Amino acid sequence: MTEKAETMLVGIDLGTSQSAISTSTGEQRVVDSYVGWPVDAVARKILKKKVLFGSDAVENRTMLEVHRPLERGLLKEGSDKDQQAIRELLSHLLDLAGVSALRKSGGKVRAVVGVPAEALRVNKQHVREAMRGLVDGLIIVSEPFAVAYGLDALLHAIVVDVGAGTTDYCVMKGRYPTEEDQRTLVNAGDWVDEQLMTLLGERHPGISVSIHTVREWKEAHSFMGKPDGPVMVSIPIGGKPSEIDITEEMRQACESLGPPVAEAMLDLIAGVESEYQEKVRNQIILAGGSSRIPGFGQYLSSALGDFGGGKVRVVKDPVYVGADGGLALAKDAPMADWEKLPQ
Amino acid sequence: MSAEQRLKRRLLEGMAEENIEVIRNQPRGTIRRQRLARLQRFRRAVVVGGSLLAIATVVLALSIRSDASSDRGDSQLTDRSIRSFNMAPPQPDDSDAGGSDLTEVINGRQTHAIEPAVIPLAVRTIAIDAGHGGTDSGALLPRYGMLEKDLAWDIANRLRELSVRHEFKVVMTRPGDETVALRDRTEIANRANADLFVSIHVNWLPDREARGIETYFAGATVDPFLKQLAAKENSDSGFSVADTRRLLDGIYSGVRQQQSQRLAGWVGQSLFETLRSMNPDVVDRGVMRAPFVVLVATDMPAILAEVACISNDREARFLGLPQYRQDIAEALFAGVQGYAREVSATEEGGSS
Repeated sequence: MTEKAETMLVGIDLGTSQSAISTSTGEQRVVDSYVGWPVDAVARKILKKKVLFGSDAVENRTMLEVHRPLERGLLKEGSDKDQQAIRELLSHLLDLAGVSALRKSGGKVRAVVGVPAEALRVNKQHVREAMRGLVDGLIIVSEPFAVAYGLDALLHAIVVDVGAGTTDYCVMKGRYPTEEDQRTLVNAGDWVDEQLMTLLGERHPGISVSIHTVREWKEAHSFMGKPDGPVMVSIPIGGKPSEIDITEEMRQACESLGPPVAEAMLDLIAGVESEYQEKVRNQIILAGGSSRIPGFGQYLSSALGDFGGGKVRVVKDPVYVGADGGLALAKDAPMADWEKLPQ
Repeated sequence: MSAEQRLKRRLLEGMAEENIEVIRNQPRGTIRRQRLARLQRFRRAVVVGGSLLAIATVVLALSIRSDASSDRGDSQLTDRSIRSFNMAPPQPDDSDAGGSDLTEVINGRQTHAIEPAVIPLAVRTIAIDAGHGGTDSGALLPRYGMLEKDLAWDIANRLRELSVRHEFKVVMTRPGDETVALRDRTEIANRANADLFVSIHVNWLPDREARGIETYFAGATVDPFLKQLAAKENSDSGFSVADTRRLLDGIYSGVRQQQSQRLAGWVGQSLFETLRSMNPDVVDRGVMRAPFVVLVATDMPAILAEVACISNDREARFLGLPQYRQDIAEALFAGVQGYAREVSATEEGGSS
């Protein structure tokens, strides 16, 4: 077998809400970033699994000790269980993509993992630790850089990657981004969920709804600007099932994300040399799960109005754009750039 | 190679460099700076080598001319000089270029932090940090007229005397009863290239029965009390928001953290063993990690010792005794000395 035949390259986007993988063999998989262990023997017997992932874990959460190991896009600290959860999650993702089977048959796997732009070293080290033994080579990069690389936006571009836990920015200036070229905000999808939860609680004090449900509503009905129609949801209030209109709360919650995201974007553009600012303004890439909020791209475009205008391009496939970018990096990285993890 | 390919190559090089720096726990840009320094050295070598060649050529030309022993014309001599001068300069040693760093990592030689024990090191300079001072009195015990800043200063001075007597160089982070920002304290130690940093404090705990010694090294904590304590001790640190990232990275600076933990272990044990002969009720509350700014922002192994508990009546009375404070200073010194011996591995004969 040739070197190429036995080596699989993968790109992984490790996200707060979803984690995705793209492989050089064309596999693409995504899993909600939830890991759950049965709470007791009864739960284990019912579920017939030692550990559950993603939507399985969320659906069966009453029988599970559920961990969402990434918080604000970073590995949580202080809990061995969260460390274990992230390893399980990565292992599961690699299993789904056929990586583990390949390794068992003697093949090699090299991975590029995207993490938030301003992830601390300790977080990168945690990821490195979690990947130990799962792959043969590992490179960790900032997620928006991976997105930019995958989309060939290498020069005079800015990526605004609005995920669940963080909004990550990366200005591409023709060099590997430094700290000044990148930024991470904690205003992202989860923040919208919290706003929506608060607004609903204020309007309906007797409301009984979990953050998971609120998240599902947001994913189904989010918008900025003008809605397609009223947002109606079914919800128990004071124990009584009720149909309520949450259009206004949804608008307010989603639009609350606009100002901080736009402000940081404008601030980063202002830091670009003046002669290139126009080029950057015309190459703004909106990525991440929250880029799917209808009207978000237009909101950012309009925010550029007072600054000479610009173009915001919303990526077509926010689920895999980060993983695909990681894969592109993995394919282009010379052999010498790979770190061999001790097995 | 097209412009796009060159750009991609530059980005990939940057990506690899950042990964290596994270693995080695080096500050961002270290590899680039090292590469630039190597390039500068190479350029200097070229300039010096070229100059020497030019001088040699001129000397040779003059000698040939003065000999006048051949029928070659001046123009030929000039050609020869030019040929000599145009000789290819020595090429930089590729094995020393950035690529070798990558190769080392790939070959697994750089994937682990260097164990300092393999390089016997000497502890020469000790930075002693007497907690609080000036307008910041620290913990108070009005009944005995005790202020934490005075107790810390007294013990720090005793420790200084012991250290100097044993030929250590000492740097005090505050000159007397003055307010010195935590940032300035760490800078004093860093500028002095101190090998160790020992911060002396006296504890105050809400539970008046609680007593004993605590020794800290830098690290994150999930203990709400320690978080609160660190926030209190870190107030008016003098650091700005812009310093946050460097400070946070400093919490987890690998080898330094391990060494700080060892130093804390030595000092904690020494304090407990020494003090219990005079104060049998003393409690070793353990070696703990906490994000105190003075521990995070210093470049050397650093600890913070809460040498006693002023809120405990019995320990407060002990602290009022000069002999007890001397015992504390001696215990601190013995701990420092134990650690110093361990890292130098001379008296143990552990390494050769």
